[in-house]
Amino acid sequence: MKYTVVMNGCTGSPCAQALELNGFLRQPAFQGGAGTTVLFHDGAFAALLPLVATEAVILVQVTRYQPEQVLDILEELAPRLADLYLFFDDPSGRELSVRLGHRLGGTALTGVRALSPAAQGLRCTKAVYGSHVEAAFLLRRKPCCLALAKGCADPLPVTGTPRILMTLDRRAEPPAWVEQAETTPGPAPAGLEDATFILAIGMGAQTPDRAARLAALADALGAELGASRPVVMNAWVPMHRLVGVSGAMTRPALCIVAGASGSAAFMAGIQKSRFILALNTDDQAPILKCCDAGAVGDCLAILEELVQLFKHGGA
Amino acid sequence: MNLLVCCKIVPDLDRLSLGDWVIEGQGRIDTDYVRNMINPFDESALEMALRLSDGPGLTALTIGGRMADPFLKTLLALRFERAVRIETPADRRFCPDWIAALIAAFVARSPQDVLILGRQSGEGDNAKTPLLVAELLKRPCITEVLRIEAAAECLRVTSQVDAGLLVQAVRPPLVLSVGNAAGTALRVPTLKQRMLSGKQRIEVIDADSFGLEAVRASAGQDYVLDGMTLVSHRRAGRIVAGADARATARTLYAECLKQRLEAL
Repeated sequence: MKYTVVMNGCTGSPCAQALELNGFLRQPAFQGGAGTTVLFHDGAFAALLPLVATEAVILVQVTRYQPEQVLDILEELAPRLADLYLFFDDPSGRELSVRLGHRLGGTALTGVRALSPAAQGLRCTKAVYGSHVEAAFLLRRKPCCLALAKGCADPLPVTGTPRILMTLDRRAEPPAWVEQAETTPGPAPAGLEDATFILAIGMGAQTPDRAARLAALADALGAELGASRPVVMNAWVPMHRLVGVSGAMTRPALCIVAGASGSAAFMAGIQKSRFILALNTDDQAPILKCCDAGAVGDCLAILEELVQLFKHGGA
Repeated sequence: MNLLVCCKIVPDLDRLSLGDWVIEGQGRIDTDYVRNMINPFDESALEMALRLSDGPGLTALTIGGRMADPFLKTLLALRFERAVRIETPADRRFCPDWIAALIAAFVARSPQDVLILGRQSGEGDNAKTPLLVAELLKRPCITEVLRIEAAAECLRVTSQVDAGLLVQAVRPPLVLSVGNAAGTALRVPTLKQRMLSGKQRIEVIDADSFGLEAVRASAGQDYVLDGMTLVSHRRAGRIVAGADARATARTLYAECLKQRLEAL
């Protein structure tokens, strides 16, 4: 199967997603196929080439990532590209996949977890119903523009250097509707995707003060702090600590879930944990059926005791 | 400035217990008995619009059945000038192309400077509608919007990008797709506001009046649901009990954590 990967290298290094994409390309559907990456960059492309998982690359220099401009360039390049496009599950990947699919008269799908050729097109699976259900869709109209789901494959280091097929310089003035634009770096990544030990808190934290105390306990235990969506939406914990389908997809050796009910979207973010310990006051909370071990009670009180035991080696 | 906020009324899926998830024929899951709510991303979009304008020029639009009406009444009480429902009994879960076409057709009838939509909703999880609306209307789009502020002759829009925050001063017309925006829970109307808005009517438009059945039929041919499987996150779920927090913690530490913490 021939395919095209679109990578936005203008707004940071998409390292984790590139390694997952490389893992995704190990699926049988891609064996023996050939891929080309269209890499958008703002000048510093050398550091991005080792992340290119295809054997060929087209380098496109732009002034900054501007979706309308990038879409125009992709439309122009489309006649020479394979009609299966793969995008990362990041803001730019999700946007470009849908808008390019529309512009090229094809079909787009976001959050794709797996794909396989079918008699009448391409069969793709993705999570629906807030990650309670996995649905399969048959895409019959080409080109197919797919944004891959975070966590769709185990990361795989990229080997080899891609052959540069073409170099384009498309630096341009910003569009007329943008009067001013400024990018500020976000907080340093929380490192949740690579953490071996996570304490993930939910609304059982109850108050901002208690959430702060739980954060301190995470620190005392040497765990990375994660949080469910309601917690970050209440701004009790910064957004970059969000765990789940719209945040980090984690794979720790140990995950303690404190006061989160266990919504499917949250569970998707911790399902690859080797061991899940859940603490919840509600003995009917779904999390208590989706953990390896659990206890019913106030998460803060139990964790405070656990920290003391941790500090004193169980004494 | 005319502002249109598109919102979807959805079942609160977190209210379903694990045993309630049953896939019926044609990939349908019965959620009719579950409490409804405004899709959380759309709720942020509505609140952002209210922070921009205290009513004049604000329109809320939804597509669906009568169950949306109590929510639209609430939006009228919150001083939305218009609350519009495009009436359709059709299954809308996996039809973002058709939904986007209806929204674009509504905007053609009732011109809007800025459209604000949540980036996705929990049933279909399509994450496509705002983007398709932008394409159909041939308007610029900003995704993952976190904040919208009024500025002279333009809007100041903060959005999440792949490695940080992008702040842009932009001139309408625009489509804005709202992401994970903290602190944007929809305000609650007072009793007085509800009483004052009591006589305001929800505008109901028949979806067929837009003549878009061909779009819907086409989407159904090219993008077909081909099966569903329930996702299970079940594990052993061994419950450890103790007389109090200290006793529970001691058992958990000894039986579940000590070795694992030492191995990290």
